Amino acid sequence: MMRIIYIIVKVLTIPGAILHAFFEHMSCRWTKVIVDDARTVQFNEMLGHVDHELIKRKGASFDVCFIPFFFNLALGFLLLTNGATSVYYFGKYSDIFGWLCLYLGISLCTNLFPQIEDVMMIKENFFQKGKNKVSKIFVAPFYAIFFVGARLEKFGLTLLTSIAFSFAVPTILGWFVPAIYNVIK
Amino acid sequence: MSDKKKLEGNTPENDNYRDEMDELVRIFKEELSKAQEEAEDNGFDADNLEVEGYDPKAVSLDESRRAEIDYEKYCDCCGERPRGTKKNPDSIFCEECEAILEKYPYDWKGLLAIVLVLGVVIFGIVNFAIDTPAFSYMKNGDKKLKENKLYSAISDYDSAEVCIEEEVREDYKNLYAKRISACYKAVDMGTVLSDLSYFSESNLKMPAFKETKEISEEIEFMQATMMAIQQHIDGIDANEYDKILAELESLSGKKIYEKNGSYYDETDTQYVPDGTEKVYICDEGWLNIYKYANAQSNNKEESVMIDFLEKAIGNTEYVDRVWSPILASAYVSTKQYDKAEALAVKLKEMNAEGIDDDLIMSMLYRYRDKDYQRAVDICIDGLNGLAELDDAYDLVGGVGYTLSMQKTLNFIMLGKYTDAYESAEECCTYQTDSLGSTDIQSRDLWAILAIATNNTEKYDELEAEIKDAGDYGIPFDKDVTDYKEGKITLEEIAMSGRYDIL
Repeated sequence: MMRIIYIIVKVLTIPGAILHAFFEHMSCRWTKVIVDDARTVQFNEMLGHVDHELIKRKGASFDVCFIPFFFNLALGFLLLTNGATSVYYFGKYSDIFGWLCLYLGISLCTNLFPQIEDVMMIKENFFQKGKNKVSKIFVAPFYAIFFVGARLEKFGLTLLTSIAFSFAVPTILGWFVPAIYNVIK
Repeated sequence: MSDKKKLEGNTPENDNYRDEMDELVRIFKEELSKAQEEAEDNGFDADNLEVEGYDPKAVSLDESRRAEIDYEKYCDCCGERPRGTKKNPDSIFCEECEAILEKYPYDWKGLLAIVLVLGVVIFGIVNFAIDTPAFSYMKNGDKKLKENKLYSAISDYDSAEVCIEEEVREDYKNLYAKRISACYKAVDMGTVLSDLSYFSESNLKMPAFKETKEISEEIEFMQATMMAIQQHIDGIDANEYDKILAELESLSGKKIYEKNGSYYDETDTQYVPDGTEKVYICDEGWLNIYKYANAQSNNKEESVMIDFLEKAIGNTEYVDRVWSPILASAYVSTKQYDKAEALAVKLKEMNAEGIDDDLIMSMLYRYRDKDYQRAVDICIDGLNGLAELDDAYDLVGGVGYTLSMQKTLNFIMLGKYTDAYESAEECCTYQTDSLGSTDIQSRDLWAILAIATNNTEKYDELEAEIKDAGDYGIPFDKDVTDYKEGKITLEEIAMSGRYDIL
C-alpha cells in the first residue's frame, strides 16, 4: 500500500522527481560514482533516483545526497517565490503562470530527499568509530534531515510538507524582501 | 556485458532495452511463483528440490581462491584493470573507466526537464521582481494592520496599489481584501464600497475571502436596516419623539426582505415574501442609534441617550467603532469617568493610531483629574502622531482639529490665554483647510479668545464674516456675548462641555 502511495506521489510530482534523478546523476558524475541505471522515468521505487553503486568514499556519499537536495530546494524555493506569492499572497487566482510555478515548486520540494539506502551510506562512512569528529559534527544535522526526509518520502508525506512549506513561503519572503526593497528604494 | 559496453551511450534505445529486460524479469518472477505454487499444490517441496547434475558447491568460487584476490588493487568500476590514473595515482578507477565515467551521458528527459524548469525559474524571478514593490508595501501594511495601526496600513496598501499596473490591479484580490479590512476598521466606507466592487459573488464564496464576505454582509445588513427605518419614519415630524420611537420599536427583531433593490419588512402586510428575496433581521445597533438621534434632537435627558447608545454598541463592528467615542464623551459629561476610561482603552485597541482615545483621556484629565498640563501634552502627542503618518488621509486637518480644540480648552484652564488663542486659530485653520469651513463652536471660542487677548481686530473680522453671510450667517452663541459683557468667565466656558467636539 505504502509503495503505491509512494509511486502515486512521485507520479503526481514527476517534474521534481525527474530533476532529483537528474541532479543525483549529476552528483554521481562529479563524484565519479558508477551509475548502473540512469533512467529518470521508471514507474517504480526508482522514480526520482538513479541506480548507482554503493559509495565507500565519505565525500561522495554526502555529495550524492546533498547536491540533489540543495538544487531541488533552491529551484523549488525560487519557483514558490513567484507561485506562492502570486496565488496565495496576492490572490491572483487566474494567473496560470503563478499556478505553474506553484505546482513545479511543490513538485521539486516533494522530491528533495535521497533514498534511505543512500542516507545509510552517510552513516556508514561518517559515523563509524574512529572517524573524524569535525566531519561528524558538520554532517550530523544533514544526516538527520536526510534520514527524516527519506522516511517521510517513503510514505508520500513529503507532498504534504512541501504544500505546507509553500504556504510559508510568502511569510519567509516577508522577513527580508521588504527590508531589502526599502534599502534599494 | 562489460562495464564499458554498459556505459556506452545512455540512449533511448538502451533505455528501451532495459525496460524490456525489466519486463522479462517481471514475467519470469510471475511464472516462477506460479510454478512454485503449483508444485506445492501437487505435494512437492520446492525448497528441497534436487536437480540432477547440479552441484551448487562446484560452481561457487573456492574460499581459498577468494582470499587470494586483492580486490583493493583493481578498478572499482571494471574490476579487471589495476587502479590509478596518471592524473591521480590514488584513484579507485583505472584510466579507461575514469575517462568513461567522466562522460557518463545524461538521460535526455532529465536534460529537457532542467532546461524547461530553468526557463520557468528565470521568468518567475522576473515576475516576482516586478511585483516586489507591491509585495513589500503589502507586507508592511499587514504588519501595521496586525498592530492595529490602521491609517499606516491603509497608506501602505494604497502604495502597493500604485505599484501595480492599472490593467491588472483587479487580479490582486488579496490586496483589496486587506484594504477593505483596514478601511472598514478605520470607518472609511467610501474605499470599502469601491474595493468591494472588485469581488464577484463567486469570489466571496472562497474561504480566502471569508472576512471580506462578512464585511460585505454586515454592510448589506446595515443598509437593509437603515432603508427599513427610513421607510418607517419618513414623513413623521422630527419633534414627534414618541411616534418615531414607537415606529423604531415596531421594527425590533423584524425580518427585512430585499428584492430587486427594494426593501420590505414584516410589518408591511401588503408584501408577501415568495422565498426569492434576501432576508435580514433588523439590526438592533442601528435601531438604537436612530433612537439616540431621536432623543438628542428632542433634548431628552443624557441618561436616556446613554441608554440607547449602550444598547447600540456590541451589535456590529461598524457601529462600535463610530459610536463608542460618542458614548465615552457622554459618560464624561455624566461623570461616569471609569466607564469612559474603559472605553478609551478599547478605542486605543481598535485603532492604535486613532485619536478618539486621546480625546477622551484629555477630557478625563480636565474634568476628573484637573490635570490640565497632562491633557495638553496628550493632545500635542496626538497631533504629532498624526503628523508623522502619511498625508494620504489628511489626518491632521481631517480629525486633528478636535485635539486642537481640547488643547485650547486646557490652555484656558492653565491661564495661558495667548497659547489658547493660537490653538483656537490652529483648530479653525485645520477645519477650513481640510473641510472648507469651521464649526460654530470653534469659531465662537476663537472669538471669545480674541476678546480675552484684546485682539479686537480678529473679533471684528469674525463678526463681519457673519454679517457678510447674510441670511446664512449663524450669529455668535450667547457665551460670546455673555463673556463680552463679563457675565461668564473663560474657565466656566472651558468646563461647560459645549466645546468638547468629537
